[in-house]
Amino acid sequence: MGRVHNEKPGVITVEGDGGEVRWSSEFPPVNLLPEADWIDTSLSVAFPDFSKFVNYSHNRWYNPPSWPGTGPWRPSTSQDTCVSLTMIEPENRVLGPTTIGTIPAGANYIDVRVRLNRTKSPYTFRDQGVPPLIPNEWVSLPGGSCLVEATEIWRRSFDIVLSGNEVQLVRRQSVIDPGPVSAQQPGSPQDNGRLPLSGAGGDPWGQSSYQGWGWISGSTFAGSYRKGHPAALIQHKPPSANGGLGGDTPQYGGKHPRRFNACSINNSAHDFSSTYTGQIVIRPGYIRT
Amino acid sequence: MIAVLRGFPAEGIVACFDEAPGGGDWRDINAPRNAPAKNPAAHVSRVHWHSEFFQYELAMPIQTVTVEHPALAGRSIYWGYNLVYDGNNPVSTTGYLVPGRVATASHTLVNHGLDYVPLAFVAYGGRMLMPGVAVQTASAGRSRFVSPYITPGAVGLREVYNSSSSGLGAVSRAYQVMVFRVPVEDASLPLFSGGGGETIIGRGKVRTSRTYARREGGGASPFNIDQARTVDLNNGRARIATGGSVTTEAGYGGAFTAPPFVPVGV
Repeated sequence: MGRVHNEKPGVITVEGDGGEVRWSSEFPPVNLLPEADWIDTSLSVAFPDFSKFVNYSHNRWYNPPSWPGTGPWRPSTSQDTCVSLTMIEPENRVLGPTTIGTIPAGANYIDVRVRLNRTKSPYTFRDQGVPPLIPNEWVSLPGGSCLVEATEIWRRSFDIVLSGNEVQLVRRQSVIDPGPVSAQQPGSPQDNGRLPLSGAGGDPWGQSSYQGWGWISGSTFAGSYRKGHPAALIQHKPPSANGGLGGDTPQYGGKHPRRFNACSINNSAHDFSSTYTGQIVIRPGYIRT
Repeated sequence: MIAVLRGFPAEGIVACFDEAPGGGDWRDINAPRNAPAKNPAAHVSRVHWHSEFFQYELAMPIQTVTVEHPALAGRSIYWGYNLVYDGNNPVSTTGYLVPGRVATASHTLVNHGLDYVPLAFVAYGGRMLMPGVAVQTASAGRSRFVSPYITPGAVGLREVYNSSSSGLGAVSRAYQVMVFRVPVEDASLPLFSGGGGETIIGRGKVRTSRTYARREGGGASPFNIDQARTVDLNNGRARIATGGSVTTEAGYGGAFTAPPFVPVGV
């Protein structure tokens, strides 16, 4: 059988059958305080939407017809198309702290366990759902930290931390910086603001072929490069179906953002905020160091 | 400091502690010297163990479990068109190539059979796992994140993984699992006894036949208890610091350092 002894002066030792130290006053156990000192409460962890803007791609190419035929009904190779996207801007955001409760002075450790259900999901990212990294089960948070979302471009986490004897919630969300325009692939939506538009104010009326992406300010293309990541499709209108004169014959610039058959630039449905709600149990403790 | 182990049968308390100043009769729980036994929460720095406290009692030997994580095919779709044809001549246009797909899976690591939700630590690569640690990364943002979870029957592992235009390969990963029960007092057991084949303290809260999480003799162990936050985010990427070691995702731009920790053994 095991025993408890103080064969080493001043040291209490609890031993197993084979002399294994179960714990001692030199190597004390991890102690959690009595249940009356625990915090057992509801928790809501909310992450706000990211900063966003709209990118717009307008393409038109008009080549004098080379196919047989004459007159206004001869085949034309002119085509006109548009795509509009929601873009997410880079950021590093820390939210809080928010006080959850207090624990007895002197405690230097908290055993944190949460069970959270995501009650507000982000809009799909690039047509894929954003699954929470934690299931709706109890999870232990060593050090109090928990990553909850990760995509190709963002991370979200929260921390349950001690500040004195106050237990606080801090939330973090971060979106990667895509770097300077020189780092972007030419012709990609990240390479926006570099449209080779030559018409007045970038209006394509009467211009010949051109293409490109640009970010939208108000209802038209804005100027210089703006950092962002394609996140969700707003609308795509395919070529040669713009309802122009002559059936499928496109009207010049019809899908330019200033024209009558433009793609939508309303991205109000693309809300990437998320909220996790559930229960948190905090057991304060003391570890002798 | 000289540690003492004292029982106070009238109060149903037994404690191992360093005496507080003030002296008094060592048999009297109201004596100043016994203040850590009478009011442990107010004297936590003097208490090594107390029958009102709770400890982590190892519920089963440390388990090593290998998980075969599945592969995920790549994906490329277009928003808009990749190429539009002018007659027979392809004319490039400006769609957006949408890369990748995402998937989830869950794995049972250990069936603990305790019928309640115990504390469980899961380690990978000699480090404690917290929710959302990447155990596999590849170019173009391909990653595999895992999160341990606990149910009344099992310790499980959820994974969220994603590909890019290229696939994410299958991998095998070994995890160590440590499951703890939290012992409670059993009124039928003695406050302090050496009978019955083992020594029992605090009506069963401590038994010499059981093993408890305790401060390790020195050096890091796979089960270091961190004493502050372990995750930082910067530039859309994470740095995870546990047990004094940091794991940094490519692209992280911050300067987070590892929090203090206590190596824990059993």
